[in-house]
Parts: sequence; structure tokens; C-alpha cells
Amino acid sequence: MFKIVTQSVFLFFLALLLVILQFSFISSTPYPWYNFNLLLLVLILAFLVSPKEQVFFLALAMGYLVDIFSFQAFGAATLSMFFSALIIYVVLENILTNRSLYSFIILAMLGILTDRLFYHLFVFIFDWSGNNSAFFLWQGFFWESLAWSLFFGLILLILSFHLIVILNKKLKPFFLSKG
Amino acid sequence: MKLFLHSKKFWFWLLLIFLIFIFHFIGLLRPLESVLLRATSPINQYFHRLSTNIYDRGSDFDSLDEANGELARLKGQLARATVNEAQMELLVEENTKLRQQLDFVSNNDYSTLSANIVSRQNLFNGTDRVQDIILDKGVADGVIPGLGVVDEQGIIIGKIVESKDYSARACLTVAPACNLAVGILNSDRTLGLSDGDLGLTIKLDYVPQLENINQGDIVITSGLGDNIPRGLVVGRVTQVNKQSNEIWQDVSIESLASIYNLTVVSVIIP
Repeated sequence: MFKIVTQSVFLFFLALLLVILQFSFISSTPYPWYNFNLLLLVLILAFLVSPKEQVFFLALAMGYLVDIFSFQAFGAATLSMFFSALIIYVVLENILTNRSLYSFIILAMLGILTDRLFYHLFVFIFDWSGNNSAFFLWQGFFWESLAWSLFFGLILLILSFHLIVILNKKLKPFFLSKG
Repeated sequence: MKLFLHSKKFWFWLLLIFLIFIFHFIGLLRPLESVLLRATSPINQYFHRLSTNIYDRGSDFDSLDEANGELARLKGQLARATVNEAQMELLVEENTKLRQQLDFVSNNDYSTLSANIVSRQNLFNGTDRVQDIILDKGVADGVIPGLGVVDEQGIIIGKIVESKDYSARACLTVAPACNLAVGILNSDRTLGLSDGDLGLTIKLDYVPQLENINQGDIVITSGLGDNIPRGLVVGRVTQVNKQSNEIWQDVSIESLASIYNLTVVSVIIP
């Protein structure tokens, strides 16, 4: 029990640090740099090295903290982070099971795409004030911003993956051959 | 196929999210959220400053000749401003005496509250190329929606649009839908509603053709907005689009503040 509590406290503070970095440092950079989604990248990489319970806790903590810090509708980040983690987990366990770099590239693309779609969908649903002038899918800037998120996310994922491969022998930066 | 949805743990996580929502909306988590916001404010400020310094836009000039040209122009402008300032001081002195005689209350009867910028709402607002700023002061400090935000020189840079207990969101004058009631210091004293244009400039639409507006005219707040006093400098007219076959003329205004390099601002409390 003590171990679970200490792990949870550690993960919460890790989430807090990551959210502060995303919220204050990355968000304050000019366009297009602020489209780099550090939180989601850490979430995808966390599936490589941590048990799924811890990753889901991290996702919830990051989502909740983003909801506190940001001025968008409360709950949008918590739900989008959770559902993105869920989709990444289901795909990782059932379809892309070989832990190769290619698998993680597809997972990263899927994760970033679902997170951004879920987040804006929930903001659109929860925002009762009617501030949303047009549905986000019809706005060109949404897709532009998503493309930059994917670009930065994939570059950082490839670099991080190779770093983890050096430290962890279980991962391979290529598909496993049948023979 | 292993589907997480069939396991009890999935429903445990959903229940946890549901409880977070309930506790947040009934206010049980409010003390924790307030403590987190206040405790992390200095760290947020630090990272925001670090980011602003790293990505400082730097010089606006492409060549040395362009910089020298601008320097010469600014020297001339400074000389004229010095003369104007001297004349203005005399007028202020005279005006003060007259006001005292008439027992008027000063127009500048407002106080300011310093606030640090802790973030710019970007990734979490990915449908618009706009950088709303997040301040470390909120309702607890008297910061409410509608108040004006000025930079260290007193130039208005935006207004508060949303506030929580210990933080507030302000839109920038250059952001679309960030409207301010403004007036132009021209011969007609034109009034209008400013609107941001692509996060770069400010525009004043639907100005009647008969109004005489010139490039270089100063634009100030008109005081017709709810909580923003009259006389705060907004910017300078850079372009007037006047076509004979149109009913209206479009005016482009350049903000005089370095909007993207700000770290500290003041909120005007009326």
C-alpha cells in the first residue's frame, strides 16, 4: 500500500512538472513551436517502460492539471488524455505488439490525432457560452496546428526511442523478422 | 483481442474521472486547485520568462541602412515629442488649476495592479492563431472580466476576458474578437470599435468616409467601454483604406507595445 501511495505521489509531481513545462515554457514559444505536445509524447513513451496502471494514472493527473491551469472547459483535457491513453493501449496490446520504432511512430500519430480531436470535441461540447465561432474541423488552422504537432512529436519520438533503446535491450528500432 | 473495456479497471478509471468532475463542480477540490495554482505560480513565471527570452523576436531590421534610417526618423520624432512634452506640461498645469477651480474629479482616477504573465494559451486553444495571455492574478485580487491591461509604458495591450480565483485570461488587442472602444485623435475625433487582425495589427472597420483620418494619427481608448478609462494609448494609424465606391473606410492601427515580449503587465482597476 505504501509503495502505491509513494508511486502515485511521484507520478503526480512528475505530471505537475510536465504540465508546467507545457503550459508555461512550450506554450510561450512563438508559432509553430508551441504545437509540440510534450505531455502526449511522454504518455506514449511511458507505455514502453511502465505498467499500464501507472500510465493511466499519469494520463489522468496530466489531464486534470491541464484543466486546472488552462481556461478551456473543465474536463476536456482529462477526458481526452484518458481516451487517448486507452486507444494507444488497446492498439499496442492487440495490433502493434512488436515494440518496434515503426509501431511507436504509428502509435504517436494515432495518439496525437485522437488527443487533439477528442480535446476540441469535448471543448466544443462543454463550452456552453457559445464562444466557438465555427466547428473546429472546418477551421484550417486546426489542421495546420495538428500537422505541426505530428511533425514535432514524431521527431522527438524517434530521438527518444533511440535513447531508450540504448538503455533498454527489450526494444528494437526495426520490425522483428519471422525467420 | 484484449479489450480494456471489458475489465473492471476500465470502469474504475471512469468512476475516478466522474468523481473528479463531481468534486470539482461542487467545490471540494477548490482548496487543492487554489494551492496548486498559487504554489506553482513562481515556477510558471520563471519558465515563461525563460521561454520569452530564448524566443525574443530580436531586431525588426533586415539591414544596417534600414536601422540607420529608422534611427534618424526616431531622432526627429524625439525632438518633436520633447517640444510637445514641454507644451503639454504647461497645458497640464493650466488644466489642473482650472479643474481645481471648477472642483472637477481627475479623469485618471484609477489604480493599477501588477501581474505576471505565466503562460500564453496556445496549444490548448488550437483553433486560432492567437496568443491569449494568462496572468497570475484573479478574482481574489479584484481582477474581473472587462478590465484593461497595460504594459509598463501605459499602452493598452488587451483586456481581461475570463478570471478564476488566482488567475485570469486576457485577450490581446491584436487578437480577433478582442474589441475595445477607441477614439482617434484627429480633427473629427472619430470613435469606433477596434478589432484584432490575424494577431498582427488592429483594425477599425465601418468608419464613415467623411471622417478625416491620416496615417500617424494616435488612437486612444474612448472611455465608452465598461471598465476601461479614456485616454490610454492603443496605437498609431498605419494605413487608411478609402475607396470612393465604398460607404466605409478601413483603418489599420499598429500597436505601440511589444506584445509578444511581455512578461509583466498592469491591470487597470477603475
